Amino acid sequence: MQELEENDAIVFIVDDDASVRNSLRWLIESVQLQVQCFATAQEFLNGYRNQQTGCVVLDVRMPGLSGLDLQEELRQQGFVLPVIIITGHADVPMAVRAFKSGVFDFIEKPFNDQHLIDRIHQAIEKSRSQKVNIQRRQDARERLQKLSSREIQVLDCIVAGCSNKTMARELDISVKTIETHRANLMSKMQASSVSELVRIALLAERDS
Amino acid sequence: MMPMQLSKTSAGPAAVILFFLGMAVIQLFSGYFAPSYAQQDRGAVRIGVLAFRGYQQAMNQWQPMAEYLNRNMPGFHFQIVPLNLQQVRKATAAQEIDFVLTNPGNYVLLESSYGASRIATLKRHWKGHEYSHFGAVIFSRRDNSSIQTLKDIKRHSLMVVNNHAFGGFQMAWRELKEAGIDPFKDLGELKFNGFPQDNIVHSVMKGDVDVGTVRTGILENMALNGKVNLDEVRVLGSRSVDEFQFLLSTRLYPEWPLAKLKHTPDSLASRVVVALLSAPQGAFSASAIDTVTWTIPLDYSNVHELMLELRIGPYLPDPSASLIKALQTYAHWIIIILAVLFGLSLLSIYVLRVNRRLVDTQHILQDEINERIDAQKKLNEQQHFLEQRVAERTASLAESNEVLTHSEETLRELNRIASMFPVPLEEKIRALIELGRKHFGFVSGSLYSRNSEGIKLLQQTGMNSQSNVLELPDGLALDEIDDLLQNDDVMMTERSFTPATDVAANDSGNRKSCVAVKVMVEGKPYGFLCLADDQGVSRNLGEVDRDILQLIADWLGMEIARKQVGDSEQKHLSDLAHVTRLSTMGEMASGLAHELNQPLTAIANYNRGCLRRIDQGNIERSELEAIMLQSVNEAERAAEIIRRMRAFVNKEDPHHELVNINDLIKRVSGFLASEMERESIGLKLSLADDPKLLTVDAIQIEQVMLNLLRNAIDAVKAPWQGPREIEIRSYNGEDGSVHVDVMDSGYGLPEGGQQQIFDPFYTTKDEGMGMGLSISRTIIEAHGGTMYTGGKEKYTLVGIAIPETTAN
Repeated sequence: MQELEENDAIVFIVDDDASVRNSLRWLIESVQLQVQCFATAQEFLNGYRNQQTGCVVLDVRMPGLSGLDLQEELRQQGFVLPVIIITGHADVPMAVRAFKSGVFDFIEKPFNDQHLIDRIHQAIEKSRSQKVNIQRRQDARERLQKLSSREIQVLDCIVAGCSNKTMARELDISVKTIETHRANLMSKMQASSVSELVRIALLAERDS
Repeated sequence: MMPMQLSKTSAGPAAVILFFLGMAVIQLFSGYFAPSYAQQDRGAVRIGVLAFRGYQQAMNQWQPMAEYLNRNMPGFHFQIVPLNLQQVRKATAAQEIDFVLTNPGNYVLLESSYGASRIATLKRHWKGHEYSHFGAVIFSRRDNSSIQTLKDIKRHSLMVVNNHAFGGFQMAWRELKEAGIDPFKDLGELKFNGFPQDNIVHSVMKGDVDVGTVRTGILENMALNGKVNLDEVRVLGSRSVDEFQFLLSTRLYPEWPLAKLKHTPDSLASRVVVALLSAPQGAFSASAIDTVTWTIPLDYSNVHELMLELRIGPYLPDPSASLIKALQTYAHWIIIILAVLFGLSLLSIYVLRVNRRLVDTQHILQDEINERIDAQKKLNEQQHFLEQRVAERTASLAESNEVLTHSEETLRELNRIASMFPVPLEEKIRALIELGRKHFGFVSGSLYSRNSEGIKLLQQTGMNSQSNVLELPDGLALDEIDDLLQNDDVMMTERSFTPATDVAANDSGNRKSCVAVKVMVEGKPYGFLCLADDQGVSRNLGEVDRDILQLIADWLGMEIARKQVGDSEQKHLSDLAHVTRLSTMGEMASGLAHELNQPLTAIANYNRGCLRRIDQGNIERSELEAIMLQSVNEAERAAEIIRRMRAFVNKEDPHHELVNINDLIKRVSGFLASEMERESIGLKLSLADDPKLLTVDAIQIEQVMLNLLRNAIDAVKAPWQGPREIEIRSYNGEDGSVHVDVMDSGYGLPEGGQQQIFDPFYTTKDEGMGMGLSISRTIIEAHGGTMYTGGKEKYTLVGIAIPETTAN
């Protein structure tokens, strides 16, 4: 995660106007970011590889799938790619709809190039952090799956805050056996402390 | 005639010894008095009629009765035989007539002398009443105060018909006699007027005579015809009898009887009576006034009384009675002398009478001959005149025919020019002038306008069009033109003249001629059409030529008027289009902003990118050049958009160019794409692969499609809750037109709105002028195309069809 190269991020430009598309590429490439261009939203969806970090810069006005449609489509498919919408004529209803659907930013033309580039960087940053979170959750789930059923019962009791004695009484096993399970848990979950164990367990359960 | 002449000459010496010859002459001429009775045919029935007003009048009056009897008694042939008093008696005696229709006095005579017996009495009709009696009226002028009663007539003049006339004298005679006046002794004068009785009335009224007498009804009849004013008439010895409404001075006597004669079979007589009595009213009327019918025979005894009192007719005293004794004494001498005298006198009377008649007849015949000669002369004159006229007409017809044939061709050509469409009006006007020029074979034709600024040559055809353009038509003075134009009655003026420039060299008939026709536009003088010729032939314009020239001038006026109207309509349309374009422009502001933002954004991006790379020092010169070029392209693109906007908004003259309709559709949907995006409206373009190219005013057609698309958007945008779909379709129609249909999924057209939507100011929207479709249709129609609607509840279709025009 930390070792992911900065250059792995890709800025996806979706605009039906070739000159706008090409000029954006020219601008964004000047800050050493990778750029991929698409003329339509559908083309982009077809070519996008999940988990790729980066962001989408698109024009709200396009034939076929519009910018807002694409944003909604991405969210439904579970993609976490931040979307920056550029618009020539923002009106309030459109902006509200955009932000409700979780758009990263909504920039009006003509725009300040630095502002756009800053927002692109921030979007990429967000993309990255989202990607780290996803990775961690995935790890936690993988570890959780290695546990035996007795160990899962013990983990649940720990998360619920029970003492060893209580656990032994509830599970009808000796305290000593409980301590053995705890040691295995800590080792399988790669947790150095009970608090870390609880955090990983909660992370894994979220969204599942 | 010959024997008459002979007898006249032989009567001259009046020799006694000619007595027997005279008797022979009487024998000879007895046939002459009734020549028409000679023929006898079986079934023929003759009705002798007393013709007191002439034979023709009697025929006119009684022929309908004969015809009526012929119809009702098949197998018999009734004839009317008009006779005078003497002839009636003679014909009766000779049994040459079967029935007699005569006046009561005459009848009474015939009755007593020849055994005539009445079978019916006439009834006259007057103002809704029937009169089977009549009398006479004795009258004077009312202003003649010296005559108040019958007795006053003494020593005054009296006018009567004659002494045999029953109503015309004898009736009055009886009354005068009772009043103690003997008309033959006591009067100042007794004048015999004869028929018709009307003249007696005229004479009295004129004052030629003091008193007159006529039968009843005459005065009233004349008053009806306005010939006499009854207020100016004084009736003498006036009487009144119940139910008798005519002026009357005498007793009443029964009307004329129809009598059978002794030899007439009773069966025939009774059939005639039945037929006459059963005749409907008007069955034998010659005229509405002279309506008569027949009734049962009346008692004529009072006629007998009159005759007896007056000692006339059958009661005429026998003059021979007192002579008998003398005759007995000198019998043999007297007999001889009387016989000789009687014979001679008889002879001479007859000869004289015959001769008088002969002379009269001769006069009449001579008059007739003279008349005929005159008539013949006149006829000849007429005939000659007619022949001359016919010859003239034939010649002029032949000429006219030729002219007409030529004119027909011209008119046909005129019709062809008039119906040419579409042809620029300038061209039409030119064709009309040329037509006029060719029709008359003139060398040049020119159309001039005349206004306060002077005379202006508008169009010219023929020879002069290349060579010299004249300030004023050759040979026409400005005054003359103004006279022509200002005088309502004069439509054209003709001139034949010698051109000033040629005066010196001219004797060889090098004359020019020209004709100028006024051209009226909308009822006002506009200018004139001048046809000119320099071939030296003086042309006479015929009636038809003038008509044709006038027709061409009228048509020119109409075309000019149409051109003026066309120009002002074009201007109006363009003004309207401008206004709506401005409002459309406002509506499209956001779309246009986006359009313009695209290149501006691109330019900014390119330049910022360059600046950043220059800062970083990592940019190649070639790369920079390529990007700057891109940037410049974008700037030009922005400029192009602005130019198009200005063209759209500005009033520009119509500018036709060859366009692909699909390009216009794409451009227009581009204008409105952002709005459709905002309203989440789906736009589907179904465009023809190879639409025919059209020669149109692209900006105008763009505006039409903009209107259609705008309407479609308005139909499906909020608050519309249904589907929001718009489809634009282009295709080549079967009629050679290119069609563009715009369909939307909106609420559809309201009931009855199908046609209304094209009306100006018709709108279903809260905003908007309602001018869009009206103007659109005007534009499309100006391109020769049509605009139509379709669709049902769920969608609306508005389409245009523009014909593919041949490049001209």
